[in-house]
Amino acid sequence: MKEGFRQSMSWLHTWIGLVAGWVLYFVYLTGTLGYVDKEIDYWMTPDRPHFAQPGTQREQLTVAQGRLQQVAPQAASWNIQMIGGREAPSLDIAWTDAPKPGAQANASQPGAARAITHHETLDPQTGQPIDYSARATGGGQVLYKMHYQLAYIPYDRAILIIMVLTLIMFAAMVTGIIVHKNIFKDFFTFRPRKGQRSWLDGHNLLSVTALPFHIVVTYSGFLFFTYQFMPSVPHLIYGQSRSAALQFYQGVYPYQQPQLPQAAHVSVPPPPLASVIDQVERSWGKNIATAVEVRNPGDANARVLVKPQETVSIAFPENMLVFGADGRLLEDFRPNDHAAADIDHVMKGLHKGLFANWFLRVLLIFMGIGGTAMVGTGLMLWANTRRTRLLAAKQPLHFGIWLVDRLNVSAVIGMPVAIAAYFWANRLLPAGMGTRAAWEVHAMYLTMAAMFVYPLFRRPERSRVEMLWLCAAAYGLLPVLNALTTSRHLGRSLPQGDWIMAGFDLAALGCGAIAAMCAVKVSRSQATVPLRRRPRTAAVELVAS
Amino acid sequence: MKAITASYRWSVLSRFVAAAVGGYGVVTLLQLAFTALLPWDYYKSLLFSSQTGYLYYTGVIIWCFAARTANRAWLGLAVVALPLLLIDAWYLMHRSVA
Repeated sequence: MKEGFRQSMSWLHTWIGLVAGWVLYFVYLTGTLGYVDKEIDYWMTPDRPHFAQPGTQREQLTVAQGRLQQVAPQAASWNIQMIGGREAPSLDIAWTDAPKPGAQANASQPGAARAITHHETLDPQTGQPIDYSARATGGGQVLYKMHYQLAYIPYDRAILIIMVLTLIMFAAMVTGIIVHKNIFKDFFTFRPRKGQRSWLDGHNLLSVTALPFHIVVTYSGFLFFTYQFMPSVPHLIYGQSRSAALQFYQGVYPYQQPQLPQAAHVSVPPPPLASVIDQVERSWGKNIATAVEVRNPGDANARVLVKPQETVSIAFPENMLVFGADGRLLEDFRPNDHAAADIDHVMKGLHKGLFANWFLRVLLIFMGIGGTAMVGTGLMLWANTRRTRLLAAKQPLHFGIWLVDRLNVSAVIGMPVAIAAYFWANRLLPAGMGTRAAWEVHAMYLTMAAMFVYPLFRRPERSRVEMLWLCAAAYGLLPVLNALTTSRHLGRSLPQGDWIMAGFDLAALGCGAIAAMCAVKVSRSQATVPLRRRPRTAAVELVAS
Repeated sequence: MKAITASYRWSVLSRFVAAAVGGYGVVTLLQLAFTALLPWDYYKSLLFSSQTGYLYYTGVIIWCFAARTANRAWLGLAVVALPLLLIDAWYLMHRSVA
């Protein structure tokens, strides 16, 4: 660390990258899957019906209102989720019973019976409820949440670990930028088949092409748990009691709501939802809203609340259109946050990427995969650089290199295999199994444990190729598994226009193909030198280049 | 490869503690100083300081490993922490209790 600023930053980049690398690889990988969490949910509940022709929003609302008027004309509220956005693969309705007159008096007391909410999925053509039982699954939600709550450890501890890792990640990025003189040049530099040089080029290329993405997801990641990570000053200012915490959070996140009246207990016809959605489309455009809530339907003080989809803005929108019992627009509600809260919303919105349309979403996924690969190539560089240096100096390889070589195979190839096991478990575990969702996660981590043990007993040259082939099979055969266990295989999903189901299967095939290509390439490049003497010859080759 | 001495290892450990613990302390002191100095509601100052806090933390980490010696790294932290401590102490003694 006496060599000057850039060298000391290079040292810091190398070492913090190594200690945090394996978990960060997992965080990048599962976090990237968060961009398709709802699509994964959909693939993992193949029991849910798919509707090729759901009809327009107006038709769906009319059908849903017909059903709700029939089963729950006196409900306290209706909720209708239409087919349209990422949120809703089916037309779902829910209603909450109005409190009984006797129960109302003591409703505020603890122990008062809570209002019961009923759910139904409707056939958008006929309006009849569809009876199906979805398998219990963690789906994409449990999978993407692992990128900050990990698994098997208490939530509070997990987020502290993640905060520390995020800090390391951010410091690694800043030092990485400092180390690089030619960020712009790195955009166009890739020298393949040059051993060490190619890995470094690849690492740089992956880092700089999506640099703004890496910085934004890392920095915005801090803001989710900043008060859990540094609670002292809020505690000092506001005190440690629950009410103090509430006072603080209400200041930070006001969550303003429009003022809604109590029920007037005067019966009128329920609000005309078809006319409401016409007005919504006139002011916001088509398919901007996919959910409608009705408070006190059938009452003179009924209110219809319509919120936009998440794709409308980066900061999660709390805008709302409020309509009266006669279907007339009463209020265009726009909460007015303070600037600091707006920044907070925008940063978190950028992190979650809920705003992204499908094109942007594909870009985000590619950048996420790029980030995963950036961490992976960085980890491999650590071992490669040291091996080259030691072999050139004719010194023995030390235990650190032995271990990092093996852990790299385990993490970089094994973690994707473990995630594939999560998908396999979803199709293979019996549908009625009580602990089904939990065993999906167990399957994933048992596989991961096996992936960490196996390379300890094999030369990395062998385990690398073997596990790449395993990875290729684990993903490439997922569509086959889907075809064998459900009736939603590619032969059906493609002609039916069931794009999410088909998209998952095709993406799995793509991942399998990429893993197979890597397996072929790696085994070929390793086959050019005899296996026994491989390290030494490789070193000479690397030094020469 | 140059030999790695025990004093080198101690120096790395010292820098590491300075970056992790010292950094945490400095950013916490800075948060309180923001609350003291910024003319906003508490929660706004807190939001602002937490939104920018990790930039300062990263700065501290870089400083601790860029300083010529580990002792200089600690000295740098002390130079920053001392005025912050004075501001915070003054603030805690004079603030009206919420």
